[in-house]
Amino acid sequence: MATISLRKGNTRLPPEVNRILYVRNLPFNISSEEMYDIFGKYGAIRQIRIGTNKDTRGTAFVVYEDIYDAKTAVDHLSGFNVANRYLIVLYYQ
Amino acid sequence: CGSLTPNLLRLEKDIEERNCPLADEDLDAILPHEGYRILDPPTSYVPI
Repeated sequence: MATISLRKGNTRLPPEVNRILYVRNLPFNISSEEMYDIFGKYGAIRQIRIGTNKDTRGTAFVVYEDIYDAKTAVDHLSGFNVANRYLIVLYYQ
Repeated sequence: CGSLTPNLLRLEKDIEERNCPLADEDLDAILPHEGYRILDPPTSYVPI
């Protein structure tokens, strides 16, 4: 019988859960070190894109390697305080 | 609890699909370019 290695429990993940997170309300001058420090705690990061113009500043896309890590990040980081700003962390649809 | 096996298999398959590796091209197709810059990971970054 193939051993089923189900990490982090075998809960079924809702459809909107995915590995790409859309983050808003970031400080405009946040550094790569800070971004990887805040988001890297929850799992391996595949890529981060940060907003650079007046419409996208303060927002970012954070892509995790593993869908469970992305879910953990959303569960923990929504409302996280960075430089007196509360992060908004959503699944990117 | 034989009835569990099909569900677990289906769940494992579902997770595998949603966890398939994402190539750069896949990301470029999904994420916007306009107004965004890819952050270079800091040299000290060690994926956990």
